[in-house]
Order: sequence, then C-alpha cells, then structure tokens
Amino acid sequence: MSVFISLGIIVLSILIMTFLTLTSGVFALFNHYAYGKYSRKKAETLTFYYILGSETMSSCVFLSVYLLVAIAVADLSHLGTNIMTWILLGIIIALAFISLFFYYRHGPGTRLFIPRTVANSLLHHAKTAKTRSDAFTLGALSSTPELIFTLPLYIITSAEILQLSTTHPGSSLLTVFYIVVPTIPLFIERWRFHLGHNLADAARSRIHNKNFTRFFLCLNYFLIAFLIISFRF
Amino acid sequence: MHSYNEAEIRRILKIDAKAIGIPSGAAEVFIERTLKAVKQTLKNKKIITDNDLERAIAKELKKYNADFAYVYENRDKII
Repeated sequence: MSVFISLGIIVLSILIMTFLTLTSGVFALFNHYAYGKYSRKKAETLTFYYILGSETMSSCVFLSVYLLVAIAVADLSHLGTNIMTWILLGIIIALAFISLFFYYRHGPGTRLFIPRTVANSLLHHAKTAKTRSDAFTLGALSSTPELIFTLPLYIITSAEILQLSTTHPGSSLLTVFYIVVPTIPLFIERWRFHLGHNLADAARSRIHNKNFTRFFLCLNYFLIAFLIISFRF
Repeated sequence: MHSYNEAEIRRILKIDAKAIGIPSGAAEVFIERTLKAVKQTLKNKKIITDNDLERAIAKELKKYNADFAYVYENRDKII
C-alpha cells in the first residue's frame, strides 16, 4: 500500500511539473525568434540546447535536493520527521491556493506571477540568444523562477523515493524518470514548431487552457497534501 | 518611453513574419502597406503612446494575416 502511495505522490508531482508554464512559454517565444532570425537547421539546434539547459538545471537542483534529503533523513531521523512533514504540508497547501489565485496575473494573455523585470529579462534573452551556449543558459534560467513551486515537490519526491528504495532497491531509478518526464512537453512543442505551428497557436492554446491549468495545479497540490495527511502521519 | 524608428519596427515585423511562415515577398508587401496605413492613421495625433502604435499596427496587420497581428500584439503577454 505504501508503495502505491509513494508512486501516487511522485506521479502527481510529475504532473504538476509538466503543467507549469513558464519554461514552455519562454520556449515558445525562443522558438519563434529562432525560426524568425535563423535558418531552420540552426533554429532546431538552438531549441535543442534550450531543452538541454532546462533539463540540466532541473536535474542539478533535484539531485542536490535528493542528496540533502538523504543526508537529513540519515542524520536527523532520531529527532523525528513529523515537524518537517507538517511544514512541507503547510507549504503544499499554500502552493495549492497560490497556484489557483496567483499563478496567472489578472488581465489578458497568460502573464505569470513572476516580476515584470524577470519576465522582460527572459523575453530579452529569448529575442537575442544567438549561440548554443546562449540557448543553454536561457533554458537553465527559465526554470529557476518556478523553484518556489517545484522545490517543495523535489523535497517530498526525494523523501518518497528514498523511502521506496529501502524496500525496493531499484526505486532509485525513479529519479531518472522524475527528471526526464517533465521535459517531454518541451520536445512535443519543439516537434509542433517543426511541423509548422507558430507562436500564435501556442499563445492561443495557453489562453484556452489557462483556467484548466490553474485548477489542475491546485487539485494536484491538494491531492498530494491529502495523501501526506492520510498516509504519512 | 521609447523612441521608435521605422527600421526597427520593420526588422521586428520581418522576424515575426518569417517565424510564422509568411513568404518574404508577401511579408514585405504586408509590412509596407501596414506602415503606410499606420502613418496615415496616426499623423494627426499630437501624442502617440506605445499602446497606440502597437494597436494601430496590429489592426492593420489583421487585414493581411490574423496570426501575424496576434503575435505582434501579444508577444509580451505570454509570460
């Protein structure tokens, strides 16, 4: 039963990460400018490096958190982990409300919660990125503002994977799964741009799915909180 | 507040047109006609804001290609 709960929490966490829209929004903008300024081949190379940058940053952060959680669980287990669980639970419930009411700004379009200076900086870099290293850096940078949504998930997922790996040694491979799956939407979007879709299609799709996204994120955070309350205390 | 120059607006519009897949010849025609119409529309205005200019360009672009106009108008509303 505990295996299924852990897997459930990990899957819900992956779903949240795939539905967060900042990285894919910056990617759509970068795709647009790359196709508009460079040859098709160069644009496809640059967009690949963007995904690589995003993936590398997410992996580094997640694996660092995984290591820290492993050390914390080993060193602090005598103190009991209930207080940490309560804190994380509070953060998850807060994120559920934040994702429902504050993830998108009020007004037209799909402007996000991030400060306008950060958004304008990302937009500027998306417009001016020329080389593979620029694209890689942009990909890495675009995932950092959403750390407030993803960092608690990394901690919880790390704890669940560590717990699973005590009884099922192969479960450490879930870390690979957790890192790779959230980049699939970026590859899908890259493929759509390759087939001829454009920024207008991506933007309209984001607007069309705006309410669904915020409710879905909120629901998933609440489900994670429910599973923690029901099975982890 | 920015000062706009026509060459910069043309460059931006050409990038958008190429990204959307509008052939370069057609894009040149659309951009030329759009800028001509926008100059006509705004020539009597004493003060032209960023939004006025953007809206005027988007309104003219809509006559030629809806995606082109949409991207021009909404690019800063995506993130």
